[in-house]
Amino acid sequence: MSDAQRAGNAKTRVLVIDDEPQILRALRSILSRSYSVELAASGEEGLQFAAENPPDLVILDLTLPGVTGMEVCRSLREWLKAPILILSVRDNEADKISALDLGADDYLTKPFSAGELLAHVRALLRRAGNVSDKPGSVRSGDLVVDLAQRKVFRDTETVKLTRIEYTILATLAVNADRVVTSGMLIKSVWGSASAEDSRTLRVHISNLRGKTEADSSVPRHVVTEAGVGYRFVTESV
Amino acid sequence: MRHRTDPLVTFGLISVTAIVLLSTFFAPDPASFVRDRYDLLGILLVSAVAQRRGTKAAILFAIAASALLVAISGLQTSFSPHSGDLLVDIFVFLNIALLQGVQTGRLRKRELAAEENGRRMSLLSRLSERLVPTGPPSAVSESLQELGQLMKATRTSLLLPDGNGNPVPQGADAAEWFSQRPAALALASRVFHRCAEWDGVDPCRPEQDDPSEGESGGAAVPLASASGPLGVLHVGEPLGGGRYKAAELDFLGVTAEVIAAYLEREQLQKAVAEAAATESSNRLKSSLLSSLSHELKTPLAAVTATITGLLEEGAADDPQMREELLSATDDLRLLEHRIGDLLDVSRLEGSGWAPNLDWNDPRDICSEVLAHVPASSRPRITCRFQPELPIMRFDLVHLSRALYHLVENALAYAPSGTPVVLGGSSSADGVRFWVEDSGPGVRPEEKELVFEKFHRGEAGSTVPGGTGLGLTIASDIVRYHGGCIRIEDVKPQGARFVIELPREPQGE
Repeated sequence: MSDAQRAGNAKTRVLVIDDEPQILRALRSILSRSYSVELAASGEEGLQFAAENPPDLVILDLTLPGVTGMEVCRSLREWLKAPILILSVRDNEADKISALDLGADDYLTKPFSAGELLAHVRALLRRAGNVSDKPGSVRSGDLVVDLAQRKVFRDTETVKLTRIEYTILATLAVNADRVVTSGMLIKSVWGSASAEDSRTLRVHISNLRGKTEADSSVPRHVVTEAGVGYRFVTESV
Repeated sequence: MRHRTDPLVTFGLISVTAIVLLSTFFAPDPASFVRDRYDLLGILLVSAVAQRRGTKAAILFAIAASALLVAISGLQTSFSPHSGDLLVDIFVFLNIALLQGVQTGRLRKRELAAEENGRRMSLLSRLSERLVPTGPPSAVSESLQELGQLMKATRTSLLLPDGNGNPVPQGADAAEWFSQRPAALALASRVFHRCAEWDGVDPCRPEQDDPSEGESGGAAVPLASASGPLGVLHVGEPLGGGRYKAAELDFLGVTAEVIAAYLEREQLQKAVAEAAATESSNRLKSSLLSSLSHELKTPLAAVTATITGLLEEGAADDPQMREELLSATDDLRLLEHRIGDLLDVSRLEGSGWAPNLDWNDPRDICSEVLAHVPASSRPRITCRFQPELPIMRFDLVHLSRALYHLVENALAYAPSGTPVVLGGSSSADGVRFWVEDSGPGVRPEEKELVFEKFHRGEAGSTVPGGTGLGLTIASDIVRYHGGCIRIEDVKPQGARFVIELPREPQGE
């Protein structure tokens, strides 16, 4: 968000729900420069604050005691349209996937850097800002996905993709800079999360990368989120 | 062996004997010796003897009776010309008496055997009832005593294997008894080891010592189970001396089976209890680990967020401040990895962990590893993955971590600035990954040792940092996938750590 934009709009409201005071302090310090930050020290408090004063973005710790992060996520999603970013720990892929399936939009693994946090928040707010229409086209480096025309370009060359490859890329591009779980990708292509297994998905992604990446071993556009899914990256963190 | 005579038979015998004797002495002509009556009486008596004393005694009695009849008849007739008839009569009597004796003797033998069988079945039934997991601890010793009484053995004992796999008598007085009878102990040891080795026909059958070769070691049978002999059941020689018959040894074998089944059940119960204890200890360890993880990671996350926040904020304007904050960020990342290593080792070495197997593209490992390597070291690393690597089932998060540790190791030991290659290719039964450097290499004698916890290697003293756990973690993760890891030499110098992963990982 540029200074002008920040000055122009009422500050975007971010609600942080985490039971650790040190984390709350650090997050407020990072976010309060650009956003209006409200802190909740428990799930119950978070749900109450959200209901009283609906935020534009929620940052939610999954490891909450009492009303768990998962339950808060589910409750919020019943009525809140704002994006939810969950904070999780290493080796907790199953919980991350569950939260994403319950309606969370992205995750960050602790410990994270301020730069990572801000990039994720920006990406989520950008998407939320465009909630009514899908972006016309999405660019990642030299790759452009034109969603309106259903075409993909690398520099100026058209890239020929199969229907499945395009659907995968388009789904990722629509959700640019946010994680899309393997289950969601399979659902978007084949209609249901259990219609195909992850093997087929990996094969198509491998083929897609062959056509769109300069070096398939180090993909820059379609990035793997190990154990969770994939992310279409438009800005470097 | 004595046998109870039927009271009816006894009554019959007594009454016939009385009648015959009375009729002889009080008959009108006491001089007449009615041999027929005596023949019949003699046959009855042979029967009675056969029933009480067996076939041999009956045969002897029959012969004696015949001789007596010959004597009496001869005396009566003063060995007159009718003695030819007399001899034929006596011969017929002898034959009939012998037949009767033998038949009755056999019947008796069968009855005795049936009674004996009945006693044995009864003992086996009692043993089966008594030798149950909920039974009294004295069940085994009581059973042994009863067995000893039934077999009329000098002593019945149970021997169980010690730490060296040799059968040892249970109980202080048993130990003393055996210490005075080396032959018995030798016999018990012999049958135990023969059963353990499973060679020859029926290696676990009862064996009896041969008393002709000096002091008898009695008889012994191994207590056989599916996993080998659990011990030995030993009986001392029979109380009356001599040897046990084949039927008695068979019975000993059957009894041993009942006792072996009981011991095996006890062992299984113990194993189940131990497994339950280990399970609950593992659960405790897991919950300790996860709460420890939370306790360590929370302050780490807070500090990382704060320091990096300062960098974002513009404390970054002062170049020196920026420098120091970046350095602090690197230290924090290092700390994060060290804590992660400790938690990984605990998790992997406990028995609760299993890889999360899913279909994955092996080439994803490259970007995963690079993401964890400090930015300053990334330029040194080259990924060389075959384009046609098959999609395989493995735990991407953990296998990447394993390869990250190999790369971290290479970065630390290879001279600064030298390249490190991370590669992957198809192999005959799966996929091969490797990390190659041009460092000092690994000496042959250290190639196994480097994977042990906290081993730092010869060059380790000059290389700062490192927990000495990275290679252990890597090899554990590879092992859980059913793969293997090895170190090859690189010419002119360097090391190549190679991981071979099978197409079908063992985690499933």
